Amino acid sequence: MNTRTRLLLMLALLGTLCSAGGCRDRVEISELGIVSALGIDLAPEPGMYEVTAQVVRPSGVGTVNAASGGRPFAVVTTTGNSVFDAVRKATTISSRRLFFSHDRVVIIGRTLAERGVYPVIDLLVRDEEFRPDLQLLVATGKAKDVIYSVTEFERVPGVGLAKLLNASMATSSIGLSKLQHFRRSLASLPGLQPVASLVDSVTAASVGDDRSFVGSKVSPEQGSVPERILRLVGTAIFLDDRMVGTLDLTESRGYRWVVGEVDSGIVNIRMPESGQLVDLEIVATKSNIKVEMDGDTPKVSVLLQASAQIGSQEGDDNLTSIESLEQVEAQYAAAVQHEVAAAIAKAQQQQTDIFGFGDKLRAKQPQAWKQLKETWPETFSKLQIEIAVRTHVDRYGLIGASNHPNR
Amino acid sequence: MFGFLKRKLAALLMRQSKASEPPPQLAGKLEHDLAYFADIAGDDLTIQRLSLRTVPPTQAALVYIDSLNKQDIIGELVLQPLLLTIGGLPKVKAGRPLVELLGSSVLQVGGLAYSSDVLSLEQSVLNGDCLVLVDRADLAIILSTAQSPERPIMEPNTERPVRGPRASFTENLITNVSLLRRWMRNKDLVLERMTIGERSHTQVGIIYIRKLVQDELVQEVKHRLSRIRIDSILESGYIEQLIEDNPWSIFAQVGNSERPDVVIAKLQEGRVGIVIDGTPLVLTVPMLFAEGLQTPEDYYSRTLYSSLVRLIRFVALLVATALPALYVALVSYHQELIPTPLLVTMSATAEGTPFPAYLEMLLVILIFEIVREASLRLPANIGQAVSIVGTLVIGQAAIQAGLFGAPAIIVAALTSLSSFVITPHGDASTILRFLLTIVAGFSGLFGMLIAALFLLVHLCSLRSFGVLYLWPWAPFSASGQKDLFVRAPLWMMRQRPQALPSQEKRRFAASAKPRRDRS
Repeated sequence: MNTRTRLLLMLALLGTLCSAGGCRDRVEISELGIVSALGIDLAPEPGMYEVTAQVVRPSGVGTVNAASGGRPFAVVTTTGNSVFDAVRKATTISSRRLFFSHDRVVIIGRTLAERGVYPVIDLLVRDEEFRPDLQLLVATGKAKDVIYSVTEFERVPGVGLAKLLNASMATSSIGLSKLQHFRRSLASLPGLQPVASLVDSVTAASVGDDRSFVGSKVSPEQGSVPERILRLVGTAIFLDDRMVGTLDLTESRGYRWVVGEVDSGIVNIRMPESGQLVDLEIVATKSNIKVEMDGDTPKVSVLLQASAQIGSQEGDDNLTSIESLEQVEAQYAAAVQHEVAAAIAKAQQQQTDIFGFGDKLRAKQPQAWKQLKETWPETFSKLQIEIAVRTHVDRYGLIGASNHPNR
Repeated sequence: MFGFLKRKLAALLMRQSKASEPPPQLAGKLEHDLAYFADIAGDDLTIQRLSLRTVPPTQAALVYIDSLNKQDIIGELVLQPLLLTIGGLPKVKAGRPLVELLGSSVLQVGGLAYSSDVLSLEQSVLNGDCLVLVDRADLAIILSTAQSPERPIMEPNTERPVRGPRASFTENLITNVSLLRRWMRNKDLVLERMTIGERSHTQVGIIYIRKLVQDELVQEVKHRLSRIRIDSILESGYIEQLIEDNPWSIFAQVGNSERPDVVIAKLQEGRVGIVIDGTPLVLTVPMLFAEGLQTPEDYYSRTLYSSLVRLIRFVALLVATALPALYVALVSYHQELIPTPLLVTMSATAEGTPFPAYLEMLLVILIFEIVREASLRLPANIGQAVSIVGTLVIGQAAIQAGLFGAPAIIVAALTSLSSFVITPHGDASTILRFLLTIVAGFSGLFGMLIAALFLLVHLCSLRSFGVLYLWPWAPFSASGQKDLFVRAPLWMMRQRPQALPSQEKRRFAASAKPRRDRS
């Protein structure tokens, strides 16, 4: 076999090899319905799921003539015996195949969340189309309402909601849960219980926004339906796969303090002597959880390190002196302690270890964990948790002492 | 099997026929000898009979081709001396002594040789030389009087210098060699001449730096050149295609340049140059893949900027080769890899375009290639019209008519722009662009990966004159990396490329790093 035949043969092989796929799985983007948000509720019929998909209408988004392209999204609602069944049934309504790879938020209705979310999570983690880093949310009401709600700056509400979750790092007061984290929590039960962000869909009027000028631009297509906007309200906490309670904004930050996810935020404190309000901006945080066995009972100690800078000041206290800074630090530590204690109390009340203390114990003392595993929720609810906060405040912005007129 | 026997037999017969017929020699009878030349070039041949004023007078003749000589030069340098100065010379015997006397004391031409071999004399006439035949002498004088038309040295056209010499080769072999010698005034810059082409008898020069280049390489080049059996060489491309290692590869395995400074740089790295009469290019062998991404300006500009441009050029190579395929693969198979806002925008433009992505892409890059080819072939002043048609009609109208989506046009435009950056590999990358796009249309990134693996295997196996094409990647060379993705400072590149067989490994001995003198 000379070089030439060998080469021809090689080319032929290359050709057959490359065409062997035979265009399998090829799909044009104009045939895709890009899902931007997926809402899952229990249907009114018993045992049925209602799936609401928010699908981007490309002609209504982005390009120069977006205004003339009409509504930026379409909503497809179907019901089925399972979530997957309902999703597939969408083809009876939508001419485009629903495509979930760009979906960054999945919203679960409260009633479904309280009944157990495993059937939903299983599909989400099993199907290769869903992103592992999509955010899980629980709606305070129906997920469908969230899907229909609008966001102010993004034309596609699903994208807006994802950005909203991202922006919540400025307050650190929303518990976030990506699909992969939720799954990891489910795998580590009962030592680590899942959480999800809590989203509320409210009519614009109810939050004091009369929408007289903004709303008119966004809503004409929606006709008489009162316009709803989205609001993040806290964290949903789960026991196994059932939602058992919620944390409000303060408690949510308490939770994030413990798991070490506080990025930024504002802490209000009052100076002990003058009673004046001082705002602290959280700068850097660190959480160190220690779980040890003290005889038969586990002992948990949480050491938090937090530094902050003075963000604003109401009165005329001179905060530049070491003594006053020490006072600020003490108040800061007390405030953080308070937040953390509130979160722990709520979790202990529901017997759900969202902080992952049990998981820490399993990693450190697997034998002890084996003993405690069965009764962990109960053990957790009675756990003595020692919280130590070490704070550090030494920056006070562009001005030093207060410029208050009284000075 | 039979083919082998046939070749063997033919070679045997040829050797026999060569041995049996001795080459004809001059006989020493003027009329008889002139008859050998009478059939050269038809009416273009001039045979001028003279009578030299010896005692007794001797018959002689000039033989030359009209179109390759100028009458006044022949008259001034050959006829005048022959006819006028002969009186004052010592008396010598007719025949060879007379011929040698003419050569040494009478004729005023620089290039002068003697021969009695009819075949080589014939060739000399065809080269433009003037023969002096003398009666009763079996030896002729060959005078280099050729005056063929020649164009002046101009600015390089395809390798335009931003910073660098504005001289490029011409069609004249001698001029080209003289240019090279100007850049390297060294006795070791050696030219060896050959004649290739059984009918065209094209002059070919092998040029190299003795003591630097490895002798085996020179031998190999000479061997491959002497093996060429073709009737005529019209351009260097003929030679390139007849000496390359793998004629079926899509990659160029012989380098070329129209700039003397570039060729000298290559010779200095231990390469061999091939100068071909009639071609304003000089071939250099062996060629490495990395050479296609180097330009002379890389070395003339300062290091940091050159390195940046180098990197950009590598990006351009990737873009020119694989961007359309990548686009097709992403759009048709891997939509999850496209950032969401971009996907939405692309989805908006894809609405209403009739073709599937791979077909759309293939059509667009095909149209771009047609426009490119058209603007190349047309006279320069009409070329503008083509680009207007290309940009307006294809770019604007096709999008507005909804025939193609804007992203496809943008991708194709980026691609063809990038392909101008990497001219030496332009051919290969154009072929690959089409192949990869088809493969991507069939099986997405998976197919592209397989095609890329095949390509890599091929590249790794490719050699140019025995040197591995992918050096310094494979085999890896640490010092070779200095002149690859970045261009290290000149004073750091102390080693010549190790892959090229060179007798002197080092460019310079001591550190050449510039520094301030301590005082």
